[in-house]
Amino acid sequence: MFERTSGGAVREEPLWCPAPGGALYGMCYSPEREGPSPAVVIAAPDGEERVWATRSLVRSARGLAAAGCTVLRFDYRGQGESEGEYEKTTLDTLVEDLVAACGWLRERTGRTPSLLGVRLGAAVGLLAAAMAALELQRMVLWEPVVDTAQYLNVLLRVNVAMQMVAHGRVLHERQELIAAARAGKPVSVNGFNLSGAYIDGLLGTDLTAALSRLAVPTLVLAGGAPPAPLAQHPHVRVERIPIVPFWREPKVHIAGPPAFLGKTVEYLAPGRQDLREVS
Amino acid sequence: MSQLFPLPRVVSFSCEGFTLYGSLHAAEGPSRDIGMILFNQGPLERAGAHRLSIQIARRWAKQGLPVFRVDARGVGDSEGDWSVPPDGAPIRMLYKQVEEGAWTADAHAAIDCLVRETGVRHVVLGGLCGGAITALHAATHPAVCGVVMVAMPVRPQSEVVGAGDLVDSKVKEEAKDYVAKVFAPDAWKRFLTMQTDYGTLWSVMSTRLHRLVGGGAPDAGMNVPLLRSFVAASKAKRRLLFVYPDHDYLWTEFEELFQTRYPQAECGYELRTIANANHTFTESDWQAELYATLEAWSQGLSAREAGA
Repeated sequence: MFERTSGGAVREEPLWCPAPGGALYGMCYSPEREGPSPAVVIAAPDGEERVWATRSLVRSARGLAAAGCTVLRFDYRGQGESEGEYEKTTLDTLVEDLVAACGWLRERTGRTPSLLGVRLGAAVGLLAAAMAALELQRMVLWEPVVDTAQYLNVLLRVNVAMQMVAHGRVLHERQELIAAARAGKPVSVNGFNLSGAYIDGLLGTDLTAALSRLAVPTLVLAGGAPPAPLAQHPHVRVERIPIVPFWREPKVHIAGPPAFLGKTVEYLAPGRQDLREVS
Repeated sequence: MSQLFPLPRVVSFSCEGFTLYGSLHAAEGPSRDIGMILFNQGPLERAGAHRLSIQIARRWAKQGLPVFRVDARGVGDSEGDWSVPPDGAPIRMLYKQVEEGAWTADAHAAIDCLVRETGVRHVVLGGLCGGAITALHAATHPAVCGVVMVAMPVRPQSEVVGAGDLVDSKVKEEAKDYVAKVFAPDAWKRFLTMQTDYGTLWSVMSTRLHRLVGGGAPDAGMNVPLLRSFVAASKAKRRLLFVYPDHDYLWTEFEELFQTRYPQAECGYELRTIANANHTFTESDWQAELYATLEAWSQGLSAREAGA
């Protein structure tokens, strides 16, 4: 019924990483064999998408470590095992947590880390890099969220759909939900309460401006056409690979890591393409 | 920054050669010789849906009960993966394996680990949905004194695919909702502008009509291995608590299929419902009522066990 994780020459170490908003839970994956290894921090998606993506990111972390990387996978404050409450999440706190996680791995390995950013985690990585708060070797962005206002729109649609199921009709339209959040009544999106500050951050963030300051070599992997600001950027290489959206509730269980992992290993650990299948 | 809750300790343990991880919340105040374990809600990590399991664990720990939240194999941080073909398998087939007790060995290993780490002699198992199923299957372990089952499916959910598989009262309710919309202009507007889910509408109404003309409801098969575990736990005098959100279809199935076969008065289990709540308690007031219900129950459990 279950298979042992293959290519198991990976050490796994649970840890608590100090951060301004409280301790962040993380898992550090490193190759058994000694020697210098590229350092990689995984910036997960946010909220419900993070929950569904978790296992795929565990597999990805193991895959990267089996290919010779030292990997930190961590939970933002108020998510997973970390301290704090989700209601206090804003784009700024996500950036702050990512910076803390990268600092931890840099101290541990003595190397400037690369970043693997997934969905909103990709946007958080771009913002952190653009603000020069984060020195990175390279970035790989999986199915990045670039239009954060549109991303918010999809989240609010979840709340509206839930109203239909619970009450048979829509009690509060999206604009009313936003107004309520600004007045201090957070919006529940499958139990993740979005604050007014978070909503305003998503509505007001201009990632195009952040991209104009991007100087980190970046690989974007996406299932469909990547957003234009990324596709046209001189430091960005884009590849399209069909992908099962592992950040959503699955209808089909895939045992292996996401299809993006092979190209990611090639980019972050050149010369270490001897990736063994790690499920 | 002030820390409101102590950090749990991350503990690893082994089961059949797989390394599994859990988070152990220490009991605050004097120990009551009872520990609690919460299992994965299906494929979700040990924090639970929007961290429900963490919130419950913090509250029980404050009552003097150590709480262990664990990742079974193939979930969260733990080792192992489901054996499926390279192009995948329907997620419902994995749920079926959980429904039949795929994680029982992991649950028993978690009980041994909690007893070893904390010294408690009695253990209460719990979980939501698939976690509740794992808890009930694992109640054969001699240290188990109680089981808390929140929103537990009593039928194999792999068999509930369309309206034709729903229990009768649910089909009637859905059909009634559609009929009521015949006089609602907004509903006609949605219907004519292709915003209606025509497939569901057809499926519900045709099922209702079929049953009205004598087609009858299908023989809604219960989860037989789960029933066996329930009967065994009941005979072994485990204290059993069912909690259902009453806007969850699983509550309808429990009422219609389980309660009629295993009446509360005869079987001695406890039952609470949370008004208006959905399957994963997504609103804060539903969560608050769930926490209060579980805290009240575990308070009583402690007194009873201490007197035993």
